[in-house]
Amino acid sequence: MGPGRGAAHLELERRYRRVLRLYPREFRARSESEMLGVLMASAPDGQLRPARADVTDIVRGALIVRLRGPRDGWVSALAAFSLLAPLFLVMTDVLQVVFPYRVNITGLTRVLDGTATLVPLRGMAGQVGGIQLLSQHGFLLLAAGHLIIAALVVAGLRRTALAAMVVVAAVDLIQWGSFGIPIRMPYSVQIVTITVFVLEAVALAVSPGPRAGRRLVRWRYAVPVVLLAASMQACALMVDGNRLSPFGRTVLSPGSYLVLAIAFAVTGLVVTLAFGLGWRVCLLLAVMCYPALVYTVVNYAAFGFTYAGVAYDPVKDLTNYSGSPQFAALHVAILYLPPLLVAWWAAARVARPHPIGVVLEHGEVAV
Amino acid sequence: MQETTFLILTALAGGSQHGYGIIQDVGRISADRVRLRAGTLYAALDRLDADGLITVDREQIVDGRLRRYYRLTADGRGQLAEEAERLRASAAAALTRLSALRPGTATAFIRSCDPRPGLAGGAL
Repeated sequence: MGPGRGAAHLELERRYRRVLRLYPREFRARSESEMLGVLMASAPDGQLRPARADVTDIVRGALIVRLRGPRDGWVSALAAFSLLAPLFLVMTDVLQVVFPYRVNITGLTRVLDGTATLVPLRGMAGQVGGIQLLSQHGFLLLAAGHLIIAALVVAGLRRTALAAMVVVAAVDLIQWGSFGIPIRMPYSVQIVTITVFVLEAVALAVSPGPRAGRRLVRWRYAVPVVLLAASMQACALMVDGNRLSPFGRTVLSPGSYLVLAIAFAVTGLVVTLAFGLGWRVCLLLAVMCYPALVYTVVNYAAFGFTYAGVAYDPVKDLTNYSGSPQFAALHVAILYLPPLLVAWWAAARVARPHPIGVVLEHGEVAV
Repeated sequence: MQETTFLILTALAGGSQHGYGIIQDVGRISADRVRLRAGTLYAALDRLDADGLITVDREQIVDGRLRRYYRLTADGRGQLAEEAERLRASAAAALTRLSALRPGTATAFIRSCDPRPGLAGGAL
């Protein structure tokens, strides 16, 4: 078709331009003008609407490009992840405080038949999460640590964020060593923190860091972060809610919480792909949520939380590291080996390591 | 290597070309068996550029629109040569075995593939 600018030509171009919005913004900035040129050159005179075969091809191409993600693969994926993961941890903590869950402890009066007294279960007054968490030293220290790390990565301070992570991990370990696992901390927060710390440390060490991640991450990425944190909250409600209410009933059945947790996680990952961050970031985010989801699934599959009046604590049972060494090793391997392998895989594929303090392009200094 | 990738690299082995030119050339190379469309072409060009097999040679503005010319890099030439050799070896193996089934048919075709001067040439 010639270079004419008839009404039909302009209308066709407008419609093609609309279809091309399926591509990520970065790709469009680079290639939209070229693609429009090819599409218009291929169109016969007088064509008003995009050819169906072209539209199908564009949809397929956009899907491929979105799945592929940024051009420099793992480098960008780890940079984006180094920014998103601490924000996810903060959001997880916030949801634990903002959405407390009151367990139904009426069953306790039946069990304590004759006393007619409601005895607060483990001193929690039948509540999981909520503002009371802020009075729990374990949670408070961990949440404050998450907040500091998040603030440092948002500020682009890679080296300081790494140092803060070491301090927070050390404080947490000392706390565990001194007091044992603090049972009042939501289990999903504990379990997800370990994985995120491993992946985040790798991301900060081998990628250009959160400052480079900011070039890829837009405000809309709050959506998948909140969805994934909501998935962790559903895990907490299922595991901790049932743990604290062995004689009562929960508002939703354990299976419903499980479905909610998986639905939130899957939606968050699909949204991440739709936003064009690619399969690598998606994989890192999925691996980040994996231990908590697997733990929740295993709990449901194994026990279903049908206590039938029998006091049973599956969390204590499944996390009893003082039990047989083989069981403890298997437990750790199932939950943490896949994230470690993905972290190793990602780090090995960053062709050019980015030592801390290196000068990046455009004269920017990664610190 | 996917056939689309092979055909695009083959098109660029003849010199730098812009997107529409590549589509037309791929049609010629494949005897109109493969018809590239914009979505497939630019997803492939983006990947090949990221992998360092092609690069932008020059840019022009034509009728107010960007026209970008692509060319093979040294890596691209190397990979195309490797793939062409692999395809030649595979085709030769297939044709040799076919010739055992139908003597004469495949042998003539193998001769037509021989790139030496004086022989009918260049189907592969």
